[in-house]
Amino acid sequence: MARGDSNALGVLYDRHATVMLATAGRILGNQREAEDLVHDVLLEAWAKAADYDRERGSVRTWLLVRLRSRALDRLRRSGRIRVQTMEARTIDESLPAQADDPGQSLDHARVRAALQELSEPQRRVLELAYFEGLSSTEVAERLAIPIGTVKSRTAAGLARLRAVMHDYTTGGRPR
Amino acid sequence: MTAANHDARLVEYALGTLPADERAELERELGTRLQAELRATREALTALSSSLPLQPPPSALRERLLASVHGPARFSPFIDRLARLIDVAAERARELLASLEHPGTWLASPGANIHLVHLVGGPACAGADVGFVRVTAGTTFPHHRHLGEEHVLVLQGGYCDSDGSHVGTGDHADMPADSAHEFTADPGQDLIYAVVVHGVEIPGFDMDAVLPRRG
Repeated sequence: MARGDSNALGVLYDRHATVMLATAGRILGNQREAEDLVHDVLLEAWAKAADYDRERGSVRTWLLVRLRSRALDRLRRSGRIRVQTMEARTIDESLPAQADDPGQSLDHARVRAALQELSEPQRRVLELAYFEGLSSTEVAERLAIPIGTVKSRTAAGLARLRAVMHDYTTGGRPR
Repeated sequence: MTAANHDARLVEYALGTLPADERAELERELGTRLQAELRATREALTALSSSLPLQPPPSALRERLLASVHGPARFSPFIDRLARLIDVAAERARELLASLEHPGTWLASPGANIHLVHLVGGPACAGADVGFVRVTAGTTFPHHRHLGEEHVLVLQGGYCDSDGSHVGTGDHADMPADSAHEFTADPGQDLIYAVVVHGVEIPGFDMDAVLPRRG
């Protein structure tokens, strides 16, 4: 793609647009805005492909980090405050992961399984931080719990997710 | 700073919620180990996206995206590289690349199926001829000799060089002074490249008409 190959952009879209659109929709709460953002981030990735450094992480993570950052920026600029309840944002187990390649399906399946092993309090602090961009202090205020508790729950939840992602990237089974 | 505090700061850094002063401090400490930690933390955090209900994106979005890169944005991957090659600001490089979409931009040359755009490069290109060259698909650019160094960035298509190598879209090709070659544009798509050349001789060509104006 760093060579300006538009076919590669199509492949990138096929592999990552589903999870990108879900993430953008979750943060922005608006399907049209989410589609615009996915379009913009993929176009940006295509334009900056020469700068991509494989040593600094996967393409998927690069795309999602950039997408999340820009989605939160757009949310802040618009001054909108998300008031959606946590119940509406919990994992929907009834929907299978729909992806375009087996690897991506495996990824979703494993992560979903790992998230089921997190306690609800761990999951809540991670979701507030990731999808709403709240700092530990803000999460503590939102949930009315000590900041130390937020940090310990975040660390425990992330440790579990890191183990799953490590196993996934090295081809092992999740512990 | 305890390890636990360090980890907590790294998580906040990865989430983009670390205060600016602490962010700057952490970035100064980002050695190899912390870079690996940061990478693993980001991989774990973005895994949360996989927890969401997923639906196939609309086909119209894919079509819109691909249409974008077939229009004026299709040369956008080359903005920074062109800016460096011809020593101009990125915004100027963007404008120049966008101009390639307009047929009136291109000037005919003495060579059949070869068109040119003359450019003025930056100070680093002083004394060089700078421009874009378009060679119709399948056309052979005639044998020529470089009096000085030549630097090429391929923007579209590709070519087979007389030395047997193939140069494709996004490739840089450098020719030393006093080198000579010919090349044939790949079939199917016109070859477009940016060039900075310090003098060239093409037998049978009026070089004043061929060369871009000197930068």
